[in-house]
Amino acid sequence: MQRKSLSNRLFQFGLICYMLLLSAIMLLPLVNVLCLSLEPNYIAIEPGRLHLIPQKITLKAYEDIFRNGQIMRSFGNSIFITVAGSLLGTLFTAMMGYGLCHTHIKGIHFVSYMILFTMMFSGGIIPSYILVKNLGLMNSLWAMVLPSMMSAYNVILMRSFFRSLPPELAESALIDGCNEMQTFVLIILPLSKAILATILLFYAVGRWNSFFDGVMYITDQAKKPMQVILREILIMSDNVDTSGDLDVGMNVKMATAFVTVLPILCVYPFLQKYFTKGVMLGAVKG
Amino acid sequence: MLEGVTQIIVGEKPVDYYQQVLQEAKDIGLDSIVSDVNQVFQKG
Amino acid sequence: MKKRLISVIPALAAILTLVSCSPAAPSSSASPAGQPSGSSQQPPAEQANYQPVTFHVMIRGTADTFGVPRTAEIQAKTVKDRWNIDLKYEMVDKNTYNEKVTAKFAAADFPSILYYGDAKVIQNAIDSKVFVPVTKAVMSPEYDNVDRQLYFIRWYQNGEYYGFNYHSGAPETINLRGDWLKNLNMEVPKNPEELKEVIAAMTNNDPDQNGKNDTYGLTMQGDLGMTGQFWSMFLPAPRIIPTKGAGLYIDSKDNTVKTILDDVPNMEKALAWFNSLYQEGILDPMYVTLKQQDVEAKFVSNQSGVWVKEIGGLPSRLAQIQNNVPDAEIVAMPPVETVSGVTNYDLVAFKSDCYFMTKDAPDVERGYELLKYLYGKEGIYAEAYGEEGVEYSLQGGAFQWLNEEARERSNPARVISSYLDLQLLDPIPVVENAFQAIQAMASWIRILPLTPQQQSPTTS
Repeated sequence: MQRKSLSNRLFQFGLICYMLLLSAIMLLPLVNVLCLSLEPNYIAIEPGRLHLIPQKITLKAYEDIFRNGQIMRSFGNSIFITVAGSLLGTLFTAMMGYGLCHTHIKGIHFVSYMILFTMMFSGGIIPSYILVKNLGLMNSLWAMVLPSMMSAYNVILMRSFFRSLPPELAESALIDGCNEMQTFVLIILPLSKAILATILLFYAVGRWNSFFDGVMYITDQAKKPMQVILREILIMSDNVDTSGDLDVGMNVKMATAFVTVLPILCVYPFLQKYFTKGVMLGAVKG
Repeated sequence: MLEGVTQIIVGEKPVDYYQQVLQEAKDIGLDSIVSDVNQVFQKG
Repeated sequence: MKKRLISVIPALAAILTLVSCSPAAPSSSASPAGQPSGSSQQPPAEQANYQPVTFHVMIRGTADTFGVPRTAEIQAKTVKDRWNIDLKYEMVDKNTYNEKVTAKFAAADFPSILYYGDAKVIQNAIDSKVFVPVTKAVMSPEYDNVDRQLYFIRWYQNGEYYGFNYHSGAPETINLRGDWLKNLNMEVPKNPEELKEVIAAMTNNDPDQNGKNDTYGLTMQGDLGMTGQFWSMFLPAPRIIPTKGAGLYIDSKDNTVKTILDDVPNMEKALAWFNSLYQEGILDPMYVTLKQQDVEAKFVSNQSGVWVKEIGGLPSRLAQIQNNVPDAEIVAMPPVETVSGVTNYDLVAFKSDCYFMTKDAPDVERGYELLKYLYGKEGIYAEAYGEEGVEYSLQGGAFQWLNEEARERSNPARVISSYLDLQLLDPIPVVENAFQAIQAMASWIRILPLTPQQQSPTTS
């Protein structure tokens, strides 16, 4: 084995120290939240110092959360929205991206421009609300899945990736007797696992974090997703309407925040390689 | 207004700096706000 | 076969998607827990006369998502039993409330009853007959002892009342750590000079007797929120903050609107007072960076000794302090008469915020009953205490909690802030003390009318 030179080793050492420092800076807020969630409230609310190591550990905040039906119900709502939204979104985005590759179809460029247009301009809150209401989706979890199911950016990404695939693949499948749908499902999709995983992750993170749609379209408390409930808990003490507002403890707020972010934290490391690879997939050719 | 008041409270400016703060508020229309509100209030 | 199946699946997915666009089935009724409506098996006599209707009540706030939302459950059951109303609450947090109301109005999707405070929007809604009069509710005998001219006048137009006010507000008092005063052998201050002495002692003389110099007498918000009571000790208007809303007030001597900013001598007195606190090191120098939650956190974690808060909010905070300091006490400073004769605690009524009934209310007559119930004695007690026989018992006039969770969740603030003459069922020492402190006034609330234009844009 070749011995590394001194400068090389020094560089490695410096790089490791720098990355450790960067990691510590990024982990600090998470550690702070975790620490606050494990402390009793009267310790957690002490201002003026950083809470990194709990002075006293109690799981009462987590007990409160998991005992509370509303939190767990909203968790289930968020999971449904994320799973349904991601899967449907990925499927239809792939279908649309593949369709846009067929440049021989008349009018396909016009459709592409229409999709691009939506990236730059949006109707706004009121037309969106009217649309969702007229579709009969008010107070339904599907209101958080369907109207924003596909992202124009992801469609463009998919289209770029599919264009990079050799057209001979599809042609040979057509010659062998497959129709367009079979070609797409049996030939194209298996080759697109990386980009599909990337798009799935994009959608999953977006759906999990979506909050504004939940506020606008969901009226029933039992159907609100996790982010909306989390926001309500976090701002509960700012409530100006109820005189003498009830304050949820700081430890409970932090525990709710931690529980909300935990699923994404658990899933992300496994999909990270697809994420880093996939971002460039649609852009870099050969 | 808040900045001027805060400067006086923390001692960056003396208390009589308030008159300058008030003048700045008048320059941006404080008196017209008061008179508009009075007009509506007197109408009842 | 497999190939056919594979080609069919995406098509099925598309069909499923379209099918799900069908109108949402009516969700279960009022309770945010999604429980079925509280209709009884045998409809009582009152309910039997009514066809079932659904009232959609939209309010600004956050549901009590911790613990079972019992208030909505109890209220839903009651209104179902009495008037066959399916009550659906929609709670939206204050930061997005206005946007949602705007979107709903634009889509002509009006809730049955709506809480709102934006004067322009309300006036437009009245002019375009979106809001219907609630005169019958306001003029009902239950409100004969209420000063209608005071509490309902804001939206009285063309002989009709449109807004149903829900509270008068309770005084926001200057509160001090009573146990610290005892440790310092000091009395509750009665004027700005005594208050300054107390603040100085709380900063310099180790009021919590922990051997550390770790307390400030006073801290406050950087934007001077919740400091009106201090300013008003010097200025001719109650609870007024010079940096908010142009400092407008009504001068009762000549019945004109003025701004306290023009009262240069008294403004300079107030500024000098605050400045002296800062210069002597007894006002927390970090105050310029603090928000409302930070100020509260410092008071509750024994870092400051003076805090302005509405009376109804004191019990829960005292309980938090007592987790750490079992002997902690909170006492309220008596009101200080201002240079114009009002006190620094006087309330301002005449706010725009009210409940309104819209033209989409399914039954206006039952809407009146609903308003009177929700924001009357029964509804307020349900919110504060729960249901008799479940959360509490009142046997022989003696109040007793039936479960600890209910006691922890109880919120007497609505009782305290109601304009109805309601008593606290479960007397709370810190609240009684605060009321006693402000009994020094001739009447504990002197309501001063406020013109619509005095509403800061941020209050709606």
